[in-house]
Amino acid sequence: MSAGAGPKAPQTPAGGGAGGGAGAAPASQDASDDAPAAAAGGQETAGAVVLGRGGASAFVAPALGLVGVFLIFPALWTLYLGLTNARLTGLAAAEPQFVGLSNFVRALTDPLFRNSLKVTAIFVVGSAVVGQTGLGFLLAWSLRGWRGPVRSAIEVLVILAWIIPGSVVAFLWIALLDGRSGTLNTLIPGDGGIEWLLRYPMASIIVFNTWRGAAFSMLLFGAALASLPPSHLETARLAGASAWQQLRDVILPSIRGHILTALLLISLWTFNLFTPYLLTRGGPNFQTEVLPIYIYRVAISSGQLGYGAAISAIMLAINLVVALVYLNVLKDKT
Amino acid sequence: MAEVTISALVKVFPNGARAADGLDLTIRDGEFFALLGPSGCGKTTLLRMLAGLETPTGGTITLGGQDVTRLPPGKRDLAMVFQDYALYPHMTVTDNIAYPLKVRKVAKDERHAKAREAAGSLQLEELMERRPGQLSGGQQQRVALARALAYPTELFLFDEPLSNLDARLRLEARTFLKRLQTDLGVTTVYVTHDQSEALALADRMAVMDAGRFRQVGAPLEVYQRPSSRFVASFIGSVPMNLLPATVADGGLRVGSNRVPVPAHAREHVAAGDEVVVGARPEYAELLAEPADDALAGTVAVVELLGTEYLVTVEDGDLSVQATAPEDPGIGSRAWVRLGERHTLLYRADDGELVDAPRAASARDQMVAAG
Ligand SMILES: Nc1ncnc2c1ncn2[C@@H]1O[C@H](COP(=O)(O)OP(=O)(O)OP(=O)(O)O)[C@@H](O)[C@H]1O
Ligand SMILES: [Mg+2]
Repeated sequence: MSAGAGPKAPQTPAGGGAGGGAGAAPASQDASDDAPAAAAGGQETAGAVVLGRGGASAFVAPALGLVGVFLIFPALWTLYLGLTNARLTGLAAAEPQFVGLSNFVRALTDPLFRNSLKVTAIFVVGSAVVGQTGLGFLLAWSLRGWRGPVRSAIEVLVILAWIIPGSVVAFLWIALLDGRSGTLNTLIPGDGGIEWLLRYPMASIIVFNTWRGAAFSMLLFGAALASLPPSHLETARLAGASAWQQLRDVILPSIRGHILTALLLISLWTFNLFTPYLLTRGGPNFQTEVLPIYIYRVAISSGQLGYGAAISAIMLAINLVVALVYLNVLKDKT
Repeated sequence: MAEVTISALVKVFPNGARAADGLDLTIRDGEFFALLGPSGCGKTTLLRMLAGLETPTGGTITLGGQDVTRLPPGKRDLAMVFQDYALYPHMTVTDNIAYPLKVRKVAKDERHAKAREAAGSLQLEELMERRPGQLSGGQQQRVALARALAYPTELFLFDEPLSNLDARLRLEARTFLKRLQTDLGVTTVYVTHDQSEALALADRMAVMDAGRFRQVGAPLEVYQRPSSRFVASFIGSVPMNLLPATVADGGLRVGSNRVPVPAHAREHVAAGDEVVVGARPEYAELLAEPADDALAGTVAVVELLGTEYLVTVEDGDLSVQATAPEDPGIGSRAWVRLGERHTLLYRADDGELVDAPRAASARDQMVAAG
């Protein structure tokens, strides 16, 4: 327990040197402040001594190994594949040829790839940003003051939508939206007979994904709102702030971190989501062919493994950029 | 400026807690009114009902003659300092102080000037660009106070606004508050745990217990003549002596001693009555010689209060405190004369002063019995 070795540097800015009128007896106060900090430092040092740097590395090594095998290697492999003309079957499957960047160049001019990018963007903005995050916040916000069975019922319903397996949910939605015997058409008075998945394919998958994922952000925002001290809102109310002003000035800034986290996670999930395939198979006429479906079609259905890998690599890069942007914003003055 | 009236105010929380149990009170226009009471007695709840943050279960509140019982907080024109400061962590000190002005659409330059002015009077000038997370507890508290003072209102509600300041700063802030309140003439309700603060600041004060007012009056009156044993034990920097006694042959039997019945209480007691003698140590006299109207005992504890000593004299179960200019020495014999003029008698059964009328139900029973 060599207390002197404790990291004392971070103590300085936290300490009482606040300039103001704190006056009276700073010297004695600082001395008593030091004691617990030094003790904590001592404990850290002790922990490091028990384990040792070598021991600590040994503990981390298996995890790093797994990350390497299952994340880094596939990523590099995808990059490599993207530089070849590999195919799923045939001669090019056995001996793929190195073709340089031609797959990437081809992607830039491929109208279906660009269509897919556009479709994905609409899908992410519609169902992840506006849909899941927005609706989730709205739900959390409106349930905030509620207690009792109604609230529990709504929560259970929303969470159910989240935990039922995707294929089951897809089946339920097909049953709901089907043209001839779908529940929705039965409910709507009149002739009905609207083939929702054909007439409004993009809207359908957006609503589907929103419904499916709102629970996550609802739970996240619910927890965030619950941790907001009531007096913060009350101060605003006393000043006469309207509901909108309270939201803008107090609530949103206070849960900014939660919002960004939710946005990041949900956008990435949605960006990589294959489930729309279960509803529309990317159709009609590629209207709902989001990137994962496009890659599936190119690489698996048409067997162009190399080209598919190249697009996967582009997708990976987009994921990275999105994540970096979010993380940067999050780090900014929190 | 506004007069505050509450009548028959009741607040029962869903969990059954009765935080206000029939409160009646008028706080005069421009008055500095202090609320004092043990933790959990309902001070904050009363303040929150005045602010409109809590809806009363029953009763009415008027502000400046207008019934505001159901009016939302934003329409009541008052400023409140919360027990937990409620500063916005994402705003600088300036923006925090200026926020109520921003809501009221005051131009940026003007509200920043106002914020600086309010902050200056609380010695916060150096900290204007910091965020609350970078301030000490006392500094945060002063920012919260500055925010309340930065815009003109009808009513100040302060919930222990100085509780986290060091002794010197607290005295300064107290003086500042008192001066400011006198200058502005804004009606102020001030919750505090520190009774010296209440005694020093308030024009009038109320002592609360379990959702009721136990005594309402000027500080000096409450200090010198606590209306019940509860208030007597609660008020005073050193606790009042409260000694069980029996009235017998024209005097009071306290343990094995006898002291005279105070003149002002003589006609309210009869032989055989069980009473509690209340006497402040400050008014009691410590004697080194026997005296026939004094309590005899042995000095058990001597505490230095600053300019004088607080001496605890014990005789069997009986323990009585008195102040003395000199240390009598532990273990020596001593006699305590209670100071008859300031001695109060409380009934042993309901804890009220012997000359107070009995509560309605008890009186009815007596009438019926007689
Ligand atoms: N929201 C609430 N729900 C249920 N009970 C409550 C609530 N707020 C306060 N109470 C109860 O009401 C009583 C009065 O609380 P209040 O906060 O007014 O006390 P206080 O006098 O301000 O105490 P302190 O001096 O500790 O701040 C307490 O018994 C408390 O437990
Ligand atoms: Mg309180």
